[in-house]
Amino acid sequence: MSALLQQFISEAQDLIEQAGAALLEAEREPNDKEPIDELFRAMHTLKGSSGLLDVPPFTMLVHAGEDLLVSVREGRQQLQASDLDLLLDCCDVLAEWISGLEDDGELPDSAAGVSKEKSSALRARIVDSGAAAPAAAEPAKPAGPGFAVVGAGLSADVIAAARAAAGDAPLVAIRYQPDEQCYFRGEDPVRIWRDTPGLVGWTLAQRDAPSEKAEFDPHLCKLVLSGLSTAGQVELENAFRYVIDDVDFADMPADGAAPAGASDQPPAQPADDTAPAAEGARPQARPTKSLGPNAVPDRTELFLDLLDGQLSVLDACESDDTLTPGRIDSVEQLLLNNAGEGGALAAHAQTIKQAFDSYRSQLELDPLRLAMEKLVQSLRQNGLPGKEAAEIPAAEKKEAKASNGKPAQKSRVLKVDEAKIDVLVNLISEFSVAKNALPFLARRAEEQYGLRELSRELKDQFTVVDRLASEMQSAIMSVRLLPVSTIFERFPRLVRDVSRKLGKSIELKLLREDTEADKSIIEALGDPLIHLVRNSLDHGIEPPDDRVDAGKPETATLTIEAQQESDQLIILVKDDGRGINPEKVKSKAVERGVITAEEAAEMDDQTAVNLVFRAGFSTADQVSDLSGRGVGMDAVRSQIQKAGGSVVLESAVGIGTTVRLSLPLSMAVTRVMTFGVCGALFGVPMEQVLETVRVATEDLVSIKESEAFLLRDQLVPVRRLSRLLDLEEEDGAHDQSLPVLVVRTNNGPVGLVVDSFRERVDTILKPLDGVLSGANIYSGAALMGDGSVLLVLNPRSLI
Amino acid sequence: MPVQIDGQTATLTDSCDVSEVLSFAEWLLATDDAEIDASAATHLHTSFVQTILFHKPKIKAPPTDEFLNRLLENAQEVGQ
Repeated sequence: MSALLQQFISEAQDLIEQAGAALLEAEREPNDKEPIDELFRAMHTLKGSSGLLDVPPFTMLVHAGEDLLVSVREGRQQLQASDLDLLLDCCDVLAEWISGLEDDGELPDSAAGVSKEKSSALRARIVDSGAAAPAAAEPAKPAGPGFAVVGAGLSADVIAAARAAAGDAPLVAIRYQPDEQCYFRGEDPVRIWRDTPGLVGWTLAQRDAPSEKAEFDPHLCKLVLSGLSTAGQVELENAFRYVIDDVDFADMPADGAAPAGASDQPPAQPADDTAPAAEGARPQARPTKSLGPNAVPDRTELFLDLLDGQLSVLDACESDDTLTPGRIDSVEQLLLNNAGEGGALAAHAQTIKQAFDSYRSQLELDPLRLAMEKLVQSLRQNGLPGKEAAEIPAAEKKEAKASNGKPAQKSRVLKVDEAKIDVLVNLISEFSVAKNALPFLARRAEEQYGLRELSRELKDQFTVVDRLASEMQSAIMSVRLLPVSTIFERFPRLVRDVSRKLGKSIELKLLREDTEADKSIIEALGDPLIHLVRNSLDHGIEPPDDRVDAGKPETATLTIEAQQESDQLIILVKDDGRGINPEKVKSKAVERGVITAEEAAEMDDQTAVNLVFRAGFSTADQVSDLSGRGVGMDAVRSQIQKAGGSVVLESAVGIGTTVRLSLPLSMAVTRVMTFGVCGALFGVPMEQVLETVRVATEDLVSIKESEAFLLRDQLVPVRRLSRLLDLEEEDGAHDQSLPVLVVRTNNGPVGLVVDSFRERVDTILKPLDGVLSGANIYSGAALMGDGSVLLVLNPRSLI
Repeated sequence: MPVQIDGQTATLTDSCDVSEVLSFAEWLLATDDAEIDASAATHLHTSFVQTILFHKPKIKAPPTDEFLNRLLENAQEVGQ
């Protein structure tokens, strides 16, 4: 797959997701313009980037979507509920195509047909501008900007030469300012310009040229072409028909006077790289799209951030560094750029100049830093002068725009193939193991060769390497962290669709979506969460009428909340529905043979409602007769357990149900309790260990064939690990007391008799492969510091 | 290859397409006293024109194509 396609796929996935979220937002807040703008931006970008690839159905569909949104943005129409449905539908189709592209490298065969159908459906909804906006709205176009504006880019010389060349023929001034993104649509303005009919004189200029060479982006078109032609406007319009929005025409007055712009301001040839003539000549033509009217405070913030950036540059300067003078100069230049007339720092021009001048005479950095800090502080307190948004010069404008839009993201977020991170994880884990060989080496140096001094130095070095390794490990692990919002974001759509279908009114609250956890954990959460949410929607939450009868608000609330508790990620799925009736669950469980009638009689309500997680409890047919929960709850539990987590349900009849999932934040590093059995070393993941006890042999009670002991009044069954693993027992290993490891299983605590307890280790568990991969009594294997292999048991399958 | 780079000189031949502009721009950014030989160029994509306009390398051999020549001349003037 080409790099371009790959990038497009990952970008498109993000954009389609954004569009989906914006659509839902637009539905909630019909009067808010922001979601529409966002939606438009997403469609627009999709159109642009898909145009680079050979996916015409895709481009056609997003183009239709964009056109509809343009009409909405221009106020010609409002998005109706059915429009939103259609757009959502289109997003689904797009997402489907993208995954098709990812898998097969091409769109499905049906794409062209689907695109045609959906595009025409979308287009059918566009209120025709001609019909809806009568002639009154049009006059702007025929009048257009006058010659003074269009011809502003032409110098007197060019005009004179053109006059001479044209003779008596009337001249039309053309100004062609291609859209920045035009290369991405396959446009080549120079080629269009070359074919301009009747061109007798022309010039080109750049606009918004960056001050730093490194910032120049050759993929953004920043040219303005101005010219004079003897061809008529109609002919010219035809020549520029594909880019007509980017072109202005104006008849040149017959008297041949230079354009007003050229006579009362410096000649059109821009005096410097920032080309103010071209920009200034077209004040209203191209409002910055990404900045709404309420963006001003953000821009203040951005500007202050920019200044902060300069401060940190100053902070980083060392007096004896050869780079310092250059850095200082560039900071000064930036500040002074903003200190010109009307600039954001105009009031401080003097201060800035003085500070830098005194630095140059004394070469003392501290006073300069102090002065600049003061300046930033006072700006922070007092804000920027009134119209700062309009005053920030072009270079900063670009900066501000970049921070609001896509390009900045590009530079800050690095998309890395997961496999590469996994390589890092593997390397660091092997490194952690390898470094553990150092203490062994140190011991050998001392004991075998009598080199105490060397041994001590080795140990010193080891502490350094150890610290670095653990820092490196946490740094690498943090790369794999994802916010839970990555799975939460699918729920607004799910809840909307399901609640509509069921005729229920449900408000979804997503709380603390920014909580982060390892990617593998986040991924493991996806399916179980969908199950839980669906269950709540289907069965937990009552129909509106029932809710009103029960005295509850008609709109139900479903809350999905994430939180971090020490090293656990907790997800709560909470509804205020009808709750689960423990008695019903009990009778169902007895009926299904999950528990006996005696057990049911003794069972408290909390334990009873958790019976829904038991295998064998849930089958599809009881969905409707039980108060809801049922389908796949044991699947939920097993998936969560597989990821090393646990799940608990709490419910109160008539009030609601809460399911609490808890998972480790990271799966990569597992704490393992190690112990010896029959001369071999084994381990059990720490989260499954309840406690370690020594049990006197006489305290063991035999019940039929099995053994048990009393642990704080609770009868705990005991198993001999040596027998479970079929190992040869050493004679007389346990005379008086047995070391017992009490572990958590699905059926309550179980004691495992081992030979001795060993230390607790942090390891990276590797799943077993080859012939052992089917042996599910092991969770995996880990390398120990001395190079030996530790087998880690999975007590749940073992017992 | 329409763009051939040899030390400090880039030779532009035939039609230079937008797909090659990035490496060209990077070369210009990294090369002091860069020189351009455009004598055999038949078309320069706008992005090339703009890049030359911005970085102002020396045009060692101007394009023989009149329109392109005018474009780069113009670019040189504007750039200064």
